[in-house]
Amino acid sequence: MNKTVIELKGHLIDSLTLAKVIDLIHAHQASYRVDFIDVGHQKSDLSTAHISLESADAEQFSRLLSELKTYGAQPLQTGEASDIALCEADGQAPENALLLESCLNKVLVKGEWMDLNAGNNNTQTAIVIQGNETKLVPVPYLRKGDVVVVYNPSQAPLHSLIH
Amino acid sequence: MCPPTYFTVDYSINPWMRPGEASRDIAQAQWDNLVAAIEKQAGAKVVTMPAEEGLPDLVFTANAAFVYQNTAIVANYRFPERQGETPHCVEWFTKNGYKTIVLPEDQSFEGAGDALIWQDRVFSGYKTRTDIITHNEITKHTGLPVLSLELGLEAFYHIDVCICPLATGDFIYYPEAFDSYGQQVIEANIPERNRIPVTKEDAERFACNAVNVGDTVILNQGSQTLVDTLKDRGLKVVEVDVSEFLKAGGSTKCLTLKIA
Repeated sequence: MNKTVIELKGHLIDSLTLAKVIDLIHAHQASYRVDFIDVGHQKSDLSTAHISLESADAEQFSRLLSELKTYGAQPLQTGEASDIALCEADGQAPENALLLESCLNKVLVKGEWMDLNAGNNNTQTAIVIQGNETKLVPVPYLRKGDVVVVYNPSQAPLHSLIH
Repeated sequence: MCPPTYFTVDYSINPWMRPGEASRDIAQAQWDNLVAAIEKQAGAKVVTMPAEEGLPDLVFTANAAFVYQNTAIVANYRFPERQGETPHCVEWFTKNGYKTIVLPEDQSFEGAGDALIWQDRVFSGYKTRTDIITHNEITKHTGLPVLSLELGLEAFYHIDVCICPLATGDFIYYPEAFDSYGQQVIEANIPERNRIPVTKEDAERFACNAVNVGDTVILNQGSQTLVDTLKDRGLKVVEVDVSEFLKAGGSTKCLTLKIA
């Protein structure tokens, strides 16, 4: 069975991109599940969807994935990370570091939505191992010698994105 | 705008192009007439960027960037024949005080040829020349929501030959350039009274590729059906002959970039 998980990000609802992608999946006779969807609150907000795809027909699955690229579909890496590496310099993540990306742009505080400062958004975060514990550290705050979780891109499945 | 000092049709990257068929002298005369129409009949000011030898399509400044207020998102061209234009566009916008955004190399984006503002949103084409992922960059750098419209006809390869949003709130468009999803998006966003569909014949004369300043519309001559419709709506219509540029696949709008 051929499987993958894709991410779509954009104005998926107003542009009917999500509907078009689902229709395309049906046309290629693959099965799907929407694992995650985050619909933007304002018209200028982007929406995000994670869709698991599955098909027994390898050739048709391959054609489907190729066509999905037109709609901005990006493969999500899923699974377990496999290794660690040291930071060689302050503020620099090792190659193939497992990085998590936060897409928060608002937070609800005492019943009021507050916009987050744009400078703090979309900061990639590394996973640092300290003893028997892990700690999430934004890349700019990494220090030389930090032990960081990395993945081996030749192995699959790998890691999951967390929003 | 950019003068056609080095304009020619040397290669073919769209179905309209026939190498060797364009006259530079005729193109220069037509370009001068277009400038005159924009300045004298529409009352707008024309500023120019220098032409560059070896870059004949630099004349089509619509693709140079998407401009919103003081931000210019510069083009990353799909075809190698035009990729040499990008550094000149970066230089021009930077020198003229714009916050100049250069997208990642692997993201194709063809400026205002594929992104047009209508009221508070952007209609943006994708697939033929522009990648849909760049629409997120437009939102990121301008705060404007984008309505993404897939382009499926090879001859209508930029959205600015398929639609023309007008400052009056009207919306000229060629419905057949879009699939059913695209037509639904247009119909959901543009009230029926504002929609002006064009015929295939007018669309093939690049009727949608019009310059609009206020209530003045400047387009290539010969699209009588559309001209009559626009005049009935009280718009001032100026027809110009840009036939030499049609041989490269562009018309009046392609030859201009609105920066203010």
